[in-house]
Amino acid sequence: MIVTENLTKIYPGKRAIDGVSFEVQKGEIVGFLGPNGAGKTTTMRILTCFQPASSGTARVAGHDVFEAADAVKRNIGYLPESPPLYLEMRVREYLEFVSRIKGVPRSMRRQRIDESVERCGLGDVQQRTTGKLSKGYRQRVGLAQAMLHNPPILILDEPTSGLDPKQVVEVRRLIRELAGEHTIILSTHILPEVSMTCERVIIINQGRIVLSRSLRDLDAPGPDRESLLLEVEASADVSEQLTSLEGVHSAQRVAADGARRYRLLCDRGRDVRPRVASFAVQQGWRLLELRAQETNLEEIYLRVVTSEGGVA
Amino acid sequence: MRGFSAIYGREMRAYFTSPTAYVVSVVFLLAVGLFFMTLLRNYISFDAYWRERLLEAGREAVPADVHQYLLRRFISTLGAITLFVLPFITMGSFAEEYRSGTMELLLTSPIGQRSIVLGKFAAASTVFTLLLLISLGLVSSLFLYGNPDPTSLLVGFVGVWLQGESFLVIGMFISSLTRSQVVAGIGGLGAALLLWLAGLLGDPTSTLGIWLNELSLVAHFEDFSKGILDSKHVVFYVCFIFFWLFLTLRSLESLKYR
Repeated sequence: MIVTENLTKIYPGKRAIDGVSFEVQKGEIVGFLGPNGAGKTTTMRILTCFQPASSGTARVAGHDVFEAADAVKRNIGYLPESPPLYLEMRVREYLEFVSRIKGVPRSMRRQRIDESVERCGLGDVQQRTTGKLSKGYRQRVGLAQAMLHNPPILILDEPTSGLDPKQVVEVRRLIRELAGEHTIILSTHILPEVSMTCERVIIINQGRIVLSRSLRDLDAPGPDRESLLLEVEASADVSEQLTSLEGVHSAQRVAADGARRYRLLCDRGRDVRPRVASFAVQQGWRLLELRAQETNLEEIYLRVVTSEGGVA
Repeated sequence: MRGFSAIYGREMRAYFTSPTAYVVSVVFLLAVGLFFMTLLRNYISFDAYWRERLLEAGREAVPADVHQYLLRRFISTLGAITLFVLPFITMGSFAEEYRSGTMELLLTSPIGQRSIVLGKFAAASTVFTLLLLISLGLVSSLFLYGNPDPTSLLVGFVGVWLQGESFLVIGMFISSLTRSQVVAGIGGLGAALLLWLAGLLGDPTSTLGIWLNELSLVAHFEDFSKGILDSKHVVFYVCFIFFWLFLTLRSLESLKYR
Protein backbone atom coordinates (compact mmCIF):
# COMPACT_ATOMS: atom_id res chain seq x y z
CA MET A 1 0.00 0.00 0.00
CA ILE A 2 2.81 2.36 0.86
CA VAL A 3 6.32 2.15 -0.51
CA THR A 4 8.97 4.78 0.04
CA GLU A 5 12.44 4.78 -1.31
CA ASN A 6 15.23 6.97 -0.06
CA LEU A 7 12.97 9.81 0.98
CA THR A 8 15.00 12.83 1.94
CA LYS A 9 13.74 16.20 2.99
CA ILE A 10 16.12 19.07 3.47
CA TYR A 11 15.00 22.28 5.11
CA PRO A 12 17.34 25.21 4.99
CA GLY A 13 20.21 24.18 7.24
CA LYS A 14 18.61 20.93 8.38
CA ARG A 15 18.04 17.43 7.10
CA ALA A 16 14.62 16.55 8.44
CA ILE A 17 14.69 13.04 7.05
CA ASP A 18 17.49 11.26 5.32
CA GLY A 19 17.11 8.24 3.05
CA VAL A 20 13.92 6.89 4.57
CA SER A 21 12.79 3.66 2.90
CA PHE A 22 10.01 1.41 4.13
CA GLU A 23 7.01 -0.55 3.02
CA VAL A 24 3.61 -0.97 4.54
CA GLN A 25 1.42 -3.88 3.48
CA LYS A 26 -2.32 -3.71 3.05
CA GLY A 27 -4.17 -3.96 6.35
CA GLU A 28 -1.10 -3.42 8.52
CA ILE A 29 -0.99 -1.06 11.46
CA VAL A 30 2.43 0.47 11.64
CA GLY A 31 3.66 2.60 14.49
CA PHE A 32 6.09 5.36 13.68
CA LEU A 33 8.09 5.81 16.81
CA GLY A 34 10.73 8.36 17.56
CA PRO A 35 11.65 11.25 19.80
CA ASN A 36 10.31 14.71 19.04
CA GLY A 37 11.88 16.16 15.93
CA ALA A 38 12.91 12.78 14.57
CA GLY A 39 11.15 13.32 11.25
CA LYS A 40 7.84 11.57 11.83
CA THR A 41 5.66 14.51 10.86
CA THR A 42 7.82 15.33 7.86
CA THR A 43 7.48 11.77 6.54
CA MET A 44 3.74 11.88 7.02
CA ARG A 45 3.46 15.22 5.29
CA ILE A 46 5.27 13.80 2.30
CA LEU A 47 2.98 10.78 2.20
CA THR A 48 -0.09 13.02 2.30
CA CYS A 49 1.23 15.27 -0.51
CA PHE A 50 1.35 18.24 1.82
CA GLN A 51 5.05 18.72 1.17
CA PRO A 52 7.25 17.25 -1.54
CA ALA A 53 10.40 15.36 -0.68
CA SER A 54 13.74 16.87 -1.67
CA SER A 55 14.66 13.53 -3.21
CA GLY A 56 13.46 9.95 -3.23
CA THR A 57 10.07 8.56 -4.13
CA ALA A 58 6.95 7.51 -2.32
CA ARG A 59 4.03 5.57 -3.71
CA VAL A 60 0.76 5.42 -1.86
CA ALA A 61 -1.94 3.00 -3.02
CA GLY A 62 0.01 2.60 -6.24
CA HIS A 63 0.23 6.31 -7.02
CA ASP A 64 3.27 8.52 -6.83
CA VAL A 65 2.79 11.29 -4.27
CA PHE A 66 4.36 13.86 -6.54
CA GLU A 67 3.05 12.81 -9.94
CA ALA A 68 -0.46 11.78 -8.99
CA ALA A 69 -1.21 13.79 -5.88
CA ASP A 70 -4.96 13.87 -6.42
CA ALA A 71 -5.21 10.08 -6.65
CA VAL A 72 -3.13 9.75 -3.49
CA LYS A 73 -5.26 12.29 -1.64
CA ARG A 74 -8.40 10.33 -2.50
CA ASN A 75 -6.91 7.22 -0.92
CA ILE A 76 -5.77 8.67 2.36
CA GLY A 77 -7.37 10.02 5.45
CA TYR A 78 -5.05 12.28 7.39
CA LEU A 79 -5.19 13.47 10.95
CA PRO A 80 -2.50 16.13 11.44
CA GLU A 81 -0.90 16.68 14.80
CA SER A 82 -3.58 19.12 15.84
CA PRO A 83 -7.02 18.32 14.47
CA PRO A 84 -7.74 20.70 11.57
CA LEU A 85 -11.02 22.13 12.83
CA TYR A 86 -12.84 25.31 11.96
CA LEU A 87 -13.72 26.32 15.47
CA GLU A 88 -16.77 28.33 14.51
CA MET A 89 -18.48 25.39 12.80
CA ARG A 90 -20.75 22.80 14.31
CA VAL A 91 -19.50 19.22 14.23
CA ARG A 92 -22.06 18.06 11.70
CA GLU A 93 -21.56 21.13 9.53
CA TYR A 94 -17.81 20.60 9.60
CA LEU A 95 -18.11 16.96 8.55
CA GLU A 96 -20.48 18.04 5.79
CA PHE A 97 -17.82 20.47 4.54
CA VAL A 98 -15.06 17.86 4.71
CA SER A 99 -17.18 15.33 2.83
CA ARG A 100 -17.55 17.88 0.04
CA ILE A 101 -13.86 18.70 -0.30
CA LYS A 102 -12.97 15.01 -0.06
CA GLY A 103 -15.21 14.38 -3.03
CA VAL A 104 -17.79 12.13 -1.35
CA PRO A 105 -20.68 11.90 -3.83
CA ARG A 106 -23.75 13.85 -2.74
CA SER A 107 -25.90 10.74 -2.39
CA MET A 108 -23.38 9.10 -0.06
CA ARG A 109 -22.65 12.06 2.19
CA ARG A 110 -25.34 11.56 4.75
CA GLN A 111 -24.58 7.91 5.19
CA ARG A 112 -20.82 8.47 5.44
CA ILE A 113 -21.24 11.25 7.97
CA ASP A 114 -23.65 9.19 10.08
CA GLU A 115 -21.22 6.32 10.06
CA SER A 116 -18.21 8.40 11.09
CA VAL A 117 -20.23 10.13 13.78
CA GLU A 118 -21.28 6.82 15.19
CA ARG A 119 -17.88 5.16 15.08
CA CYS A 120 -16.20 8.11 16.73
CA GLY A 121 -18.91 8.45 19.34
CA LEU A 122 -19.93 11.95 18.33
CA GLY A 123 -23.68 11.40 18.38
CA ASP A 124 -24.24 13.66 21.37
CA VAL A 125 -22.15 16.56 20.17
CA GLN A 126 -23.15 16.70 16.49
CA GLN A 127 -24.80 20.07 16.90
CA ARG A 128 -22.13 21.56 19.16
CA THR A 129 -19.61 24.09 17.91
CA THR A 130 -16.21 22.43 17.56
CA GLY A 131 -14.56 25.34 19.38
CA LYS A 132 -16.50 24.47 22.50
CA LEU A 133 -15.52 20.80 22.57
CA SER A 134 -12.95 19.28 24.90
CA LYS A 135 -9.62 18.19 23.49
CA GLY A 136 -10.67 14.56 23.48
CA TYR A 137 -13.77 15.31 21.45
CA ARG A 138 -11.84 17.50 19.06
CA GLN A 139 -9.47 14.64 18.45
CA ARG A 140 -12.42 12.38 17.74
CA VAL A 141 -13.82 14.89 15.29
CA GLY A 142 -10.37 14.87 13.69
CA LEU A 143 -10.53 11.10 13.39
CA ALA A 144 -14.07 11.24 12.02
CA GLN A 145 -12.80 13.70 9.44
CA ALA A 146 -9.96 11.37 8.44
CA MET A 147 -12.18 8.34 7.91
CA LEU A 148 -15.08 10.22 6.37
CA HIS A 149 -14.49 9.31 2.74
CA ASN A 150 -13.65 5.74 3.77
CA PRO A 151 -10.07 5.84 2.52
CA PRO A 152 -8.10 2.59 2.45
CA ILE A 153 -5.19 4.30 4.21
CA LEU A 154 -5.22 6.32 7.40
CA ILE A 155 -2.28 8.47 8.40
CA LEU A 156 -2.52 9.65 11.98
CA ASP A 157 0.03 12.04 13.42
CA GLU A 158 0.24 11.68 17.21
CA PRO A 159 -3.41 10.72 17.56
CA THR A 160 -3.30 10.63 21.36
CA SER A 161 -1.13 13.62 22.16
CA GLY A 162 -2.57 16.00 24.69
CA LEU A 163 -5.40 13.74 25.75
CA ASP A 164 -6.14 12.67 29.29
CA PRO A 165 -5.61 8.96 30.11
CA LYS A 166 -9.24 8.00 29.67
CA GLN A 167 -9.43 9.68 26.28
CA VAL A 168 -6.16 8.04 25.28
CA VAL A 169 -7.69 4.63 25.96
CA GLU A 170 -10.76 5.51 23.93
CA VAL A 171 -8.82 6.79 20.95
CA ARG A 172 -6.56 3.74 20.96
CA ARG A 173 -9.56 1.45 21.03
CA LEU A 174 -11.06 3.31 18.11
CA ILE A 175 -7.86 2.96 16.12
CA ARG A 176 -7.73 -0.75 16.81
CA GLU A 177 -11.30 -1.07 15.63
CA LEU A 178 -10.44 0.66 12.40
CA ALA A 179 -7.51 -1.63 11.84
CA GLY A 180 -9.40 -4.39 10.11
CA GLU A 181 -10.49 -2.38 7.10
CA HIS A 182 -7.77 0.22 6.86
CA THR A 183 -4.05 0.32 6.50
CA ILE A 184 -2.88 2.62 9.27
CA ILE A 185 0.30 4.51 9.96
CA LEU A 186 0.36 6.32 13.24
CA SER A 187 3.16 8.27 14.79
CA THR A 188 3.87 8.58 18.44
CA HIS A 189 6.62 9.20 20.90
CA ILE A 190 4.92 7.08 23.51
CA LEU A 191 6.25 3.55 23.66
CA PRO A 192 3.33 1.60 25.11
CA GLU A 193 1.13 3.08 22.45
CA VAL A 194 2.96 1.12 19.81
CA SER A 195 2.78 -2.19 21.63
CA MET A 196 -0.87 -1.64 22.38
CA THR A 197 -2.08 -0.67 18.94
CA CYS A 198 0.42 -1.65 16.28
CA GLU A 199 1.61 -4.78 14.57
CA ARG A 200 4.85 -3.35 13.41
CA VAL A 201 7.11 -0.59 14.57
CA ILE A 202 9.37 1.69 12.61
CA ILE A 203 11.73 3.57 14.86
CA ILE A 204 13.03 6.78 13.40
CA ASN A 205 15.72 8.91 14.92
CA GLN A 206 17.41 12.02 13.58
CA GLY A 207 15.75 11.52 10.24
CA ARG A 208 16.83 7.93 9.72
CA ILE A 209 15.05 4.66 10.19
CA VAL A 210 16.95 2.78 12.84
CA LEU A 211 14.66 -0.20 13.21
CA SER A 212 11.71 -1.68 11.38
CA ARG A 213 10.29 -4.90 12.78
CA SER A 214 7.08 -6.62 13.56
CA LEU A 215 6.26 -6.55 17.24
CA ARG A 216 6.08 -10.33 17.29
CA ASP A 217 9.73 -10.43 16.33
CA LEU A 218 10.43 -8.03 19.12
CA ASP A 219 8.84 -10.44 21.59
CA ALA A 220 6.10 -8.09 22.35
CA PRO A 221 3.75 -9.96 24.62
CA GLY A 222 0.75 -9.52 22.34
CA PRO A 223 -2.73 -8.51 23.35
CA ASP A 224 -3.49 -11.50 25.63
CA ARG A 225 -0.05 -11.79 27.20
CA GLU A 226 1.99 -9.74 29.55
CA SER A 227 5.56 -10.16 30.46
CA LEU A 228 7.42 -10.37 33.75
CA LEU A 229 11.06 -9.91 34.43
CA LEU A 230 12.53 -12.30 36.96
CA GLU A 231 16.03 -12.47 38.35
CA VAL A 232 17.07 -15.24 40.69
CA GLU A 233 20.24 -16.79 42.03
CA ALA A 234 20.19 -20.44 41.12
CA SER A 235 22.77 -23.03 40.38
CA ALA A 236 21.46 -24.00 36.94
CA ASP A 237 19.17 -22.87 34.16
CA VAL A 238 15.64 -22.84 35.53
CA SER A 239 13.60 -21.88 32.48
CA GLU A 240 12.01 -25.32 32.19
CA GLN A 241 10.78 -25.31 35.77
CA LEU A 242 9.36 -21.83 35.21
CA THR A 243 7.45 -22.88 32.13
CA SER A 244 5.80 -25.68 34.05
CA LEU A 245 4.05 -23.11 36.24
CA GLU A 246 0.39 -22.53 35.53
CA GLY A 247 -0.21 -19.27 33.69
CA VAL A 248 3.36 -19.00 32.42
CA HIS A 249 3.73 -19.68 28.73
CA SER A 250 7.41 -19.31 28.21
CA ALA A 251 10.52 -18.31 30.01
CA GLN A 252 13.43 -16.92 28.14
CA ARG A 253 16.82 -16.15 29.51
CA VAL A 254 17.67 -12.55 28.68
CA ALA A 255 20.94 -11.75 30.42
CA ALA A 256 24.22 -12.59 28.82
CA ASP A 257 26.46 -11.89 31.79
CA GLY A 258 25.77 -15.11 33.67
CA ALA A 259 22.99 -13.70 35.80
CA ARG A 260 19.82 -15.78 35.90
CA ARG A 261 17.49 -13.29 34.37
CA TYR A 262 14.33 -14.44 32.63
CA ARG A 263 11.53 -12.92 30.72
CA LEU A 264 8.26 -14.74 31.39
CA LEU A 265 5.24 -14.52 29.11
CA CYS A 266 2.08 -14.90 31.15
CA ASP A 267 -1.67 -14.59 30.66
CA ARG A 268 -2.74 -10.98 30.65
CA GLY A 269 -4.82 -9.85 33.57
CA ARG A 270 -3.87 -12.81 35.71
CA ASP A 271 -1.15 -11.69 38.03
CA VAL A 272 1.16 -14.67 38.50
CA ARG A 273 3.77 -12.81 40.50
CA PRO A 274 2.77 -14.31 43.88
CA ARG A 275 2.91 -17.79 42.42
CA VAL A 276 6.29 -17.18 40.82
CA ALA A 277 7.63 -15.72 44.04
CA SER A 278 6.53 -18.59 46.27
CA PHE A 279 7.71 -21.06 43.64
CA ALA A 280 11.17 -19.51 43.68
CA VAL A 281 11.33 -19.72 47.44
CA GLN A 282 10.07 -23.29 47.38
CA GLN A 283 12.81 -24.22 44.91
CA GLY A 284 15.42 -22.62 47.11
CA TRP A 285 16.40 -19.91 44.61
CA ARG A 286 17.22 -16.54 45.94
CA LEU A 287 14.77 -14.02 44.47
CA LEU A 288 16.53 -10.84 43.38
CA GLU A 289 13.97 -9.13 41.23
CA LEU A 290 10.47 -9.69 40.02
CA ARG A 291 8.55 -7.05 38.15
CA ALA A 292 6.04 -6.55 35.40
CA GLN A 293 7.63 -5.43 32.19
CA GLU A 294 5.59 -3.68 29.59
CA THR A 295 7.63 -4.93 26.65
CA ASN A 296 11.20 -5.12 25.72
CA LEU A 297 10.48 -2.55 23.06
CA GLU A 298 11.52 -0.04 25.66
CA GLU A 299 14.99 -1.53 25.92
CA ILE A 300 15.39 -1.63 22.18
CA TYR A 301 14.11 1.87 21.76
CA LEU A 302 16.50 3.30 24.29
CA ARG A 303 19.34 1.38 22.76
CA VAL A 304 18.75 2.50 19.18
CA VAL A 305 17.78 6.03 19.97
CA THR A 306 20.60 6.78 22.33
CA SER A 307 23.35 5.05 20.35
CA GLU A 308 24.77 6.68 17.26
CA GLY A 309 24.21 3.94 14.74
CA GLY A 310 21.27 1.61 14.36
CA VAL A 311 20.58 -2.08 14.57
CA ALA A 312 18.22 -2.31 11.61
CA MET B 1 -12.73 23.88 -9.97
CA ARG B 2 -13.57 20.96 -7.71
CA GLY B 3 -14.29 22.23 -4.24
CA PHE B 4 -15.00 25.82 -5.22
CA SER B 5 -18.56 25.87 -3.97
CA ALA B 6 -17.62 24.06 -0.74
CA ILE B 7 -14.88 26.60 -0.03
CA TYR B 8 -17.10 29.52 -0.95
CA GLY B 9 -19.92 28.24 1.24
CA ARG B 10 -17.65 27.70 4.21
CA GLU B 11 -16.10 31.14 3.87
CA MET B 12 -19.50 32.82 3.70
CA ARG B 13 -20.66 30.93 6.77
CA ALA B 14 -17.46 31.89 8.58
CA TYR B 15 -17.98 35.57 7.74
CA PHE B 16 -21.44 35.54 9.16
CA THR B 17 -20.78 33.44 12.25
CA SER B 18 -17.67 35.30 13.38
CA PRO B 19 -17.77 38.84 14.68
CA THR B 20 -15.11 40.09 12.22
CA ALA B 21 -17.43 40.64 9.29
CA TYR B 22 -20.01 42.36 11.46
CA VAL B 23 -17.49 44.69 13.05
CA VAL B 24 -15.97 45.54 9.67
CA SER B 25 -19.43 46.12 8.19
CA VAL B 26 -20.54 48.34 11.03
CA VAL B 27 -17.38 50.43 10.83
CA PHE B 28 -17.66 50.67 7.05
CA LEU B 29 -21.31 51.71 7.06
CA LEU B 30 -20.74 54.12 9.93
CA ALA B 31 -17.94 55.82 8.01
CA VAL B 32 -20.03 55.91 4.83
CA GLY B 33 -22.98 57.40 6.70
CA LEU B 34 -20.92 60.03 8.48
CA PHE B 35 -19.11 61.19 5.38
CA PHE B 36 -22.27 61.21 3.31
CA MET B 37 -24.03 63.30 5.91
CA THR B 38 -21.15 65.77 6.13
CA LEU B 39 -20.80 66.08 2.37
CA LEU B 40 -24.54 66.52 2.02
CA ARG B 41 -24.55 69.26 4.61
CA ASN B 42 -21.70 71.00 2.80
CA TYR B 43 -23.56 70.69 -0.46
CA ILE B 44 -26.71 72.20 1.01
CA SER B 45 -24.93 75.30 2.31
CA PHE B 46 -22.96 75.58 -0.93
CA ASP B 47 -26.18 75.27 -2.91
CA ALA B 48 -27.77 78.13 -0.96
CA TYR B 49 -24.70 80.28 -1.58
CA TRP B 50 -24.69 79.32 -5.26
CA ARG B 51 -28.34 80.29 -5.81
CA GLU B 52 -27.79 83.59 -4.02
CA ARG B 53 -24.86 84.41 -6.30
CA LEU B 54 -26.93 83.54 -9.36
CA LEU B 55 -29.79 85.75 -8.22
CA GLU B 56 -27.37 88.58 -7.51
CA ALA B 57 -26.06 88.23 -11.04
CA GLY B 58 -29.65 88.52 -12.19
CA ARG B 59 -29.84 84.96 -13.49
CA GLU B 60 -32.25 82.13 -12.81
CA ALA B 61 -31.48 80.28 -9.56
CA VAL B 62 -30.77 76.68 -10.65
CA PRO B 63 -29.45 74.22 -8.03
CA ALA B 64 -25.71 73.49 -7.94
CA ASP B 65 -24.69 70.38 -9.86
CA VAL B 66 -25.26 67.40 -7.55
CA HIS B 67 -22.76 65.20 -9.21
CA GLN B 68 -20.03 67.74 -9.37
CA TYR B 69 -20.42 69.10 -5.86
CA LEU B 70 -21.68 66.10 -3.91
CA LEU B 71 -21.50 62.68 -5.55
CA ARG B 72 -18.06 63.01 -7.02
CA ARG B 73 -16.65 63.88 -3.64
CA PHE B 74 -18.64 61.18 -1.98
CA ILE B 75 -17.39 58.55 -4.43
CA SER B 76 -13.78 59.56 -3.89
CA THR B 77 -14.33 59.38 -0.15
CA LEU B 78 -15.98 55.97 -0.50
CA GLY B 79 -12.92 54.75 -2.39
CA ALA B 80 -10.72 55.88 0.49
CA ILE B 81 -12.96 54.23 3.08
CA THR B 82 -12.73 50.89 1.27
CA LEU B 83 -8.95 51.17 1.36
CA PHE B 84 -9.00 51.31 5.15
CA VAL B 85 -11.69 48.70 5.72
CA LEU B 86 -11.28 45.94 3.13
CA PRO B 87 -7.88 44.64 4.31
CA PHE B 88 -9.66 43.60 7.49
CA ILE B 89 -12.12 41.47 5.53
CA THR B 90 -9.35 39.51 3.85
CA MET B 91 -6.80 39.43 6.67
CA GLY B 92 -7.95 36.03 7.91
CA SER B 93 -8.41 34.35 4.57
CA PHE B 94 -5.14 32.44 4.68
CA ALA B 95 -3.42 33.54 7.89
CA GLU B 96 -6.13 31.96 10.00
CA GLU B 97 -6.01 28.69 8.06
CA TYR B 98 -2.26 28.49 8.59
CA ARG B 99 -2.57 29.24 12.28
CA SER B 100 -5.32 26.75 13.00
CA GLY B 101 -3.78 24.01 10.86
CA THR B 102 -6.81 23.74 8.59
CA MET B 103 -4.60 24.52 5.60
CA GLU B 104 -3.24 21.01 6.03
CA LEU B 105 -6.77 19.68 5.62
CA LEU B 106 -7.39 21.71 2.47
CA LEU B 107 -4.07 20.88 0.85
CA THR B 108 -4.37 17.16 1.55
CA SER B 109 -7.85 17.02 0.05
CA PRO B 110 -8.40 16.31 -3.64
CA ILE B 111 -9.35 19.86 -4.55
CA GLY B 112 -7.45 22.33 -6.69
CA GLN B 113 -5.57 25.19 -5.12
CA ARG B 114 -7.26 27.41 -7.64
CA SER B 115 -10.63 26.57 -6.07
CA ILE B 116 -9.25 27.54 -2.68
CA VAL B 117 -8.03 30.94 -3.86
CA LEU B 118 -11.06 31.69 -6.02
CA GLY B 119 -13.55 30.42 -3.43
CA LYS B 120 -12.07 32.73 -0.83
CA PHE B 121 -11.92 35.65 -3.23
CA ALA B 122 -15.53 35.15 -4.29
CA ALA B 123 -16.66 35.11 -0.67
CA ALA B 124 -14.74 38.26 0.31
CA SER B 125 -16.03 39.87 -2.84
CA THR B 126 -19.61 38.96 -1.97
CA VAL B 127 -19.32 40.61 1.43
CA PHE B 128 -17.84 43.74 -0.11
CA THR B 129 -20.47 43.88 -2.85
CA LEU B 130 -23.22 43.65 -0.24
CA LEU B 131 -21.69 46.55 1.69
CA LEU B 132 -21.47 48.56 -1.48
CA LEU B 133 -25.09 47.87 -2.38
CA ILE B 134 -26.17 49.08 1.05
CA SER B 135 -24.15 52.26 0.52
CA LEU B 136 -25.73 52.70 -2.89
CA GLY B 137 -29.14 52.41 -1.26
CA LEU B 138 -28.19 55.15 1.17
CA VAL B 139 -27.04 57.47 -1.59
CA SER B 140 -30.10 56.70 -3.67
CA SER B 141 -32.16 58.55 -1.07
CA LEU B 142 -31.09 61.60 -3.07
CA PHE B 143 -33.51 60.58 -5.79
CA LEU B 144 -36.33 61.31 -3.36
CA TYR B 145 -35.38 64.98 -3.25
CA GLY B 146 -33.82 65.71 -6.59
CA ASN B 147 -32.72 64.16 -9.82
CA PRO B 148 -29.02 63.39 -9.88
CA ASP B 149 -27.69 61.64 -12.96
CA PRO B 150 -28.12 57.91 -12.28
CA THR B 151 -25.57 56.85 -14.93
CA SER B 152 -22.76 58.89 -13.42
CA LEU B 153 -23.64 57.56 -10.01
CA LEU B 154 -23.54 53.95 -11.21
CA VAL B 155 -20.27 54.49 -13.08
CA GLY B 156 -18.81 55.90 -9.88
CA PHE B 157 -19.91 52.84 -7.95
CA VAL B 158 -18.46 50.53 -10.59
CA GLY B 159 -15.16 52.35 -10.05
CA VAL B 160 -15.37 51.89 -6.29
CA TRP B 161 -16.20 48.25 -6.81
CA LEU B 162 -13.29 47.57 -9.16
CA GLN B 163 -10.86 49.43 -6.95
CA GLY B 164 -12.20 47.62 -3.88
CA GLU B 165 -11.77 44.22 -5.53
CA SER B 166 -8.17 45.22 -6.14
CA PHE B 167 -7.74 45.98 -2.44
CA LEU B 168 -9.24 42.58 -1.64
CA VAL B 169 -6.76 40.66 -3.79
CA ILE B 170 -3.83 42.58 -2.33
CA GLY B 171 -5.13 41.76 1.13
CA MET B 172 -5.50 38.10 0.27
CA PHE B 173 -1.99 37.95 -1.09
CA ILE B 174 -0.53 39.47 2.06
CA SER B 175 -2.63 37.10 4.15
CA SER B 176 -1.14 34.17 2.24
CA LEU B 177 2.31 35.17 3.51
CA THR B 178 1.76 35.10 7.23
CA ARG B 179 0.17 33.17 10.07
CA SER B 180 -0.82 36.30 11.92
CA GLN B 181 -4.09 38.04 11.14
CA VAL B 182 -2.82 41.26 12.65
CA VAL B 183 0.22 41.28 10.39
CA ALA B 184 -2.02 40.41 7.43
CA GLY B 185 -4.47 43.19 8.24
CA ILE B 186 -1.96 45.98 8.80
CA GLY B 187 0.37 44.69 6.09
CA GLY B 188 -2.52 44.47 3.63
CA LEU B 189 -3.48 48.02 4.44
CA GLY B 190 0.10 49.18 3.90
CA ALA B 191 0.44 47.34 0.61
CA ALA B 192 -2.90 48.65 -0.63
CA LEU B 193 -1.97 52.18 0.38
CA LEU B 194 1.32 51.91 -1.48
CA LEU B 195 -0.27 50.63 -4.67
CA TRP B 196 -3.08 53.13 -4.38
CA LEU B 197 -0.77 56.11 -4.25
CA ALA B 198 2.22 54.69 -6.13
CA GLY B 199 2.16 57.80 -8.32
CA LEU B 200 3.34 59.96 -5.43
CA LEU B 201 6.63 58.08 -5.31
CA GLY B 202 8.07 59.60 -8.46
CA ASP B 203 8.50 63.01 -10.01
CA PRO B 204 5.38 63.29 -12.21
CA THR B 205 7.39 64.87 -15.05
CA SER B 206 9.92 62.04 -15.33
CA THR B 207 9.34 58.79 -17.24
CA LEU B 208 9.50 56.78 -14.03
CA GLY B 209 6.98 59.10 -12.42
CA ILE B 210 4.59 58.71 -15.33
CA TRP B 211 4.91 54.95 -15.16
CA LEU B 212 4.35 54.87 -11.43
CA ASN B 213 1.33 57.05 -11.83
CA GLU B 214 -0.07 54.77 -14.52
CA LEU B 215 0.36 51.83 -12.16
CA SER B 216 -1.29 53.43 -9.18
CA LEU B 217 -4.86 52.43 -8.44
CA VAL B 218 -6.12 55.92 -7.74
CA ALA B 219 -5.05 57.25 -11.14
CA HIS B 220 -7.48 54.89 -12.80
CA PHE B 221 -10.21 55.76 -10.37
CA GLU B 222 -10.44 59.48 -11.23
CA ASP B 223 -12.46 59.03 -14.40
CA PHE B 224 -14.99 56.76 -12.71
CA SER B 225 -15.63 59.35 -10.04
CA LYS B 226 -16.24 61.93 -12.75
CA GLY B 227 -18.85 59.60 -14.21
CA ILE B 228 -16.74 58.61 -17.21
CA LEU B 229 -16.62 54.92 -18.07
CA ASP B 230 -13.40 54.22 -19.95
CA SER B 231 -12.61 50.62 -20.92
CA LYS B 232 -8.90 51.34 -20.45
CA HIS B 233 -9.41 51.65 -16.72
CA VAL B 234 -11.67 48.61 -16.53
CA VAL B 235 -9.01 46.55 -18.28
CA PHE B 236 -6.40 47.88 -15.87
CA TYR B 237 -8.34 46.81 -12.80
CA VAL B 238 -9.22 43.41 -14.24
CA CYS B 239 -5.57 42.75 -15.09
CA PHE B 240 -4.52 43.97 -11.69
CA ILE B 241 -6.95 41.60 -9.97
CA PHE B 242 -5.84 38.60 -12.03
CA PHE B 243 -2.19 39.41 -11.44
CA TRP B 244 -2.58 39.37 -7.66
CA LEU B 245 -4.80 36.29 -7.70
CA PHE B 246 -2.06 34.58 -9.66
CA LEU B 247 0.56 35.66 -7.13
CA THR B 248 -1.63 34.39 -4.29
CA LEU B 249 -1.89 31.02 -6.00
CA ARG B 250 1.88 30.93 -6.38
CA SER B 251 2.33 31.86 -2.75
CA LEU B 252 0.07 28.97 -1.77
CA GLU B 253 2.05 26.58 -3.91
CA SER B 254 5.30 27.80 -2.44
CA LEU B 255 3.97 26.81 0.95
CA LYS B 256 5.10 23.30 0.17
CA TYR B 257 8.66 24.46 0.08
CA ARG B 258 8.59 26.69 3.10
